[in-house]
Amino acid sequence: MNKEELLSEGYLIPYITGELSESEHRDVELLIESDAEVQMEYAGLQRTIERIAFKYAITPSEAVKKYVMQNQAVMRHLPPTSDDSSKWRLLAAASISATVIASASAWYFWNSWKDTDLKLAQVTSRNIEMAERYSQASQELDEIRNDLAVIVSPEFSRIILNGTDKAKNANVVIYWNAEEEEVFLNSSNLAQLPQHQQYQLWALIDGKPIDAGVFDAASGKFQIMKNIAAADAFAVTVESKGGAESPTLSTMQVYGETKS
Amino acid sequence: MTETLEITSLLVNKMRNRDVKALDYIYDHYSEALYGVIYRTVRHQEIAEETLHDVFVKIWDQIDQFDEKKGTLFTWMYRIARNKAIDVTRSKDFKATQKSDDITEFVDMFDEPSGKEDYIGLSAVLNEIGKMCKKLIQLNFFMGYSHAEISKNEDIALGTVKTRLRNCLKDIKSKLNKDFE
Repeated sequence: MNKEELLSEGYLIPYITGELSESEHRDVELLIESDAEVQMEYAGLQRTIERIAFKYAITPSEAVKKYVMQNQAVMRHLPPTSDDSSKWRLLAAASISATVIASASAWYFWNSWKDTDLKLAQVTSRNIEMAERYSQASQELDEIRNDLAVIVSPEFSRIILNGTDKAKNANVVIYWNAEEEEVFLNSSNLAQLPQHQQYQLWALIDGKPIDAGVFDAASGKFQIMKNIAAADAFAVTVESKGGAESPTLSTMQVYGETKS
Repeated sequence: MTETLEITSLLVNKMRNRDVKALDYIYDHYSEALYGVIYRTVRHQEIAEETLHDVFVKIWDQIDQFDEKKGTLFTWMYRIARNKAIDVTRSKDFKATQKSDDITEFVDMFDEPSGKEDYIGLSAVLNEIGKMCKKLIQLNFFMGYSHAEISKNEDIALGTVKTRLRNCLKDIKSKLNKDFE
């Protein structure tokens, strides 16, 4: 198999799912290691599949995690609690010399074992919580960085769409890079719509509307719209979910011209 | 992206050092995504949850076999989950409990409401890519059907299934804006 075959015949996808024969698998592996273009396509495919999988994730019962963490293969690696071990040894010696209190100290041991076990669980869950918060925060930071890059970029022009009579208080901010045809939209100020409806953005050129994509009202987030190369104005209407082929003008929420 | 990579390799190292906390974290972060694949393949809650359990024990046991150079941690775990779920559907016990194993019971998962965050605009992109693309992606990646099975059931040439899937994924990727990588 050569690089062209691998790419044109789509071998990377069955490589990801594990459907290839052993020799094909090896061929793909070698090309991934040696070829930058293959690497790029592979990275893109992996990321796309991961994103779809995360988006369409399903939550299993909580019990599953408990069974995983209590599985023998996992349990035997639970760390011993080192801080208390010397105290424990001392107590062990004491209990041997005083057989009378043996049963009492056994009781104590059991309790303190229960206690450390609980403490360990608490510390573990706190650690995990911190790691999660860190990862969430760094993801949020990435998003903010991306948003900021758009806001400060001289290539993007900022267009404010003001509310029509239908929605006097609404406004939408659009960042548009005509060169790269990129359109970002911030809809934090629009009202939430019922399930069966969505907002739709239109680019108007010479009075003709061009579909620029549907979106939901989302607070504080930039949404990526369809590519638009030229527009005299932008407008947002309310359409049924999935969008319409031409705008329902009576529902127009906001409107703004690109050159004011 | 670099932060994510660092977290992943940190987690993998901790797993290799038999740190149970790392498994705990990996379970919390990835179990739902993997369960989505397993459940849609197996279509039986109890069996799917048992399979998810086995998948995570396998991830813990075989983390030494994960090689960063050959793909991401998710891809490696995804392959384990998909294969394990397929194995389960092929077992005798499973076949006895299930009526059919063809694609007739197909329910479009992209129609299901998804409560997950969508800052990259994935829903909008998936809305655009067309029915056939969505079906191929669901059958191959989420329901465990091989290219050959899809080709037979959907009456499309095998080569076409492969190239179509590739084009569909490339299409999704290019529609997700590069600035938001």
